[in-house]
Amino acid sequence: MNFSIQTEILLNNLLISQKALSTKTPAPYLQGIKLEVFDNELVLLTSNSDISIKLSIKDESLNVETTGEILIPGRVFVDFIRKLDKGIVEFSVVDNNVLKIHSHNTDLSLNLLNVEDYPELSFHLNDLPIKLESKIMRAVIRQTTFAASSVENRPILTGVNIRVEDDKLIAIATDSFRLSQKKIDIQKNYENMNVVIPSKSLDELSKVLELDLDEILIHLNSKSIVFEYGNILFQSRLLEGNFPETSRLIPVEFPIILKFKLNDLAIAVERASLLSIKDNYNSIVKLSLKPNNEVEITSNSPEIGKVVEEIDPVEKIAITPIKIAFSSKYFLDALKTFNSSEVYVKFTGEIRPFIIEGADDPGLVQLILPVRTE
Amino acid sequence: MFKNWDDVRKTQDGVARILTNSIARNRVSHSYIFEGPKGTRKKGVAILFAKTLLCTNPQDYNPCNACHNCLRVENNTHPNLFVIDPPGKVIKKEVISNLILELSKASLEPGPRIYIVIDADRFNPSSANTLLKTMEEPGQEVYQVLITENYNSLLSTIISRAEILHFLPINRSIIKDYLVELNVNETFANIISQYTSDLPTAEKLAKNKETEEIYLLVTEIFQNLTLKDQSSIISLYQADKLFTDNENVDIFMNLLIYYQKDILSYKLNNDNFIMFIDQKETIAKLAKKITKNQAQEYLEEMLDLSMKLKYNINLQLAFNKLLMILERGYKYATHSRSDTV
Repeated sequence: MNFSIQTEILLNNLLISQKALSTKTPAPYLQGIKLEVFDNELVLLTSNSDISIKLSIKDESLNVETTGEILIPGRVFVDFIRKLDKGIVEFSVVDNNVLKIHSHNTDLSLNLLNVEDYPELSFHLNDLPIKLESKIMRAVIRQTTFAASSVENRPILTGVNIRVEDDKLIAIATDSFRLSQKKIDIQKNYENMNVVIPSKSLDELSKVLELDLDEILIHLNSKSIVFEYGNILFQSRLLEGNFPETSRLIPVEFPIILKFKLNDLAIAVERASLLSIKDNYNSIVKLSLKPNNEVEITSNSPEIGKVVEEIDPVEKIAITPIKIAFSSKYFLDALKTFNSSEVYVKFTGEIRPFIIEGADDPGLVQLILPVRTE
Repeated sequence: MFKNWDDVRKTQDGVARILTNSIARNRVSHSYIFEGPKGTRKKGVAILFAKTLLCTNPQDYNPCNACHNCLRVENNTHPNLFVIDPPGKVIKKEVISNLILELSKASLEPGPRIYIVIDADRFNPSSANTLLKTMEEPGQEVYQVLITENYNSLLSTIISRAEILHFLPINRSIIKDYLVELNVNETFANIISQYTSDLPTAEKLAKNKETEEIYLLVTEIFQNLTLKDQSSIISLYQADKLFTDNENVDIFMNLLIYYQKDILSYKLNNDNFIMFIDQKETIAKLAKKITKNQAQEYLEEMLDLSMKLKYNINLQLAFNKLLMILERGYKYATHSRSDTV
């Protein structure tokens, strides 16, 4: 194998592909970057088994003399290319297991890994991928992955459920105490699908989606999902098992609807949560709608003190007063997903889940389970 | 490394036949327990089993040994094959949790996934129960092989969910004869062939100085039991450095058991079962001092201790205690009892 390429081009691509590079895997072959050199194309493959990235480089500066494929120790390779001066860098394989890198006055010989050990990554592409705007994809990721479970007792809940139903794409994440659901319109009627993607994979994807490109293509099948973004193919494994049926969880009728300015609400809850500093998940705040129609957010910590925040809703529809307690962390996490300046908080009862919706965020629902307090 | 099932058939005909039949009929069980003595190459068979399932170009029931999958199974680099062999005396729960997490995702490459647990008797209750949960609902195309020398030390709930394949001990005389040809003392060869039925291991042990020291120590301990004024506890202290290695401790324990068995065999007039051939005189002397029941009792005491060795116990104290029991029995026997057979 023998080729040369502009250093910056290679480096920019390497920086993307290294996102899937394993650092602490027991399998040494996954610590490598697989290079496949074709006549006018250079392909970089990395995988940490959960996610895999395939980058295809077709650049004018790419000059291939002989084709081939090799497996390079990833970390050293990226670090070395990063430190190279601008210009052309030449690669050649000698003795089948040593890669010679030459650029300006620099020479490096790198011992290769056994390319035969590298897994066969499928990157299965569909004929009819789902087309989305990449900024919508990023928003969906941001609005859902935080709600996925971080505890691995029920592995299926560590993922985000993606469903394609007729002309809607629905993303749902839940850790069984809260739920985030985003529905978006997709142009055509695609085949219905129901898969669960590990939320960590989606977080990694959102880091990759930083190029200035409008469109992302989603290739879905029952075993894996591939996102196509420019010259990048990003593959994630899917979680096996059935995602819990969540459609019945979201109430439809709400006797109490309060509309707040998002910023006011967020600040009020944040201040109230300061008192219980034990840990984030246990900081419980109470929201009470009084008979005289005032809304109060309170938090009480016997050792430290008590906060009472009064907040005026912009609008309210309320038949009865209500007193409801919930985790301030969950509430604030949910508020962060909205782009609207005003949000609706809708209640059905004191021990029933309540939801938050944005005035200008169609399709996004945040559901939180309240906490029982005496 | 086994290349095909015909190799396995030479030593483990039954196991090979069961596995090849179920492969050929496409009725492979989701979990197997491979049970059998040391050196019966259970792991080798498990790897061959995995290779057969993963091979993309199988010939009847044999793997092709040439496709990318076969080669990677040999290098232990196939992403669908998990060999679980953590160092230490216990397989911890987190090892199993990680495995479950891995299996909860779709496989990186299409095809079956196989995990092999080496020395599965190392499970502690919590890791065994964690594993049990996955055994109850194995994913599609997930297969497990638990390898153990003693399947009774697994949870009964695990045993009931798996198919047990018994590996036969390899004919000991082959190993013994082989070692004798290498100019190993006949008694020593006899004992090593009892300890392991794997030729390379046997040869390694026979050539190891430490194994020989242990052998001499054990014979010394029993010889001392015939003398009133010698205590073996001193010799045990002097041999302290041998016991820093777990393997050595295991050998020592087993040799004690063999010797005690010999004494029992002598009492039962089964002379040809005796393993310490050149110690017959001492064995005879000791056998006369105790009753059959006592001989059995001491043997049980030893077996009991050998079970406890896998825990973190104070070895020196444990062996001292055992020696005390033996000395009390053999040396201070009030009179040489005549047996009522």
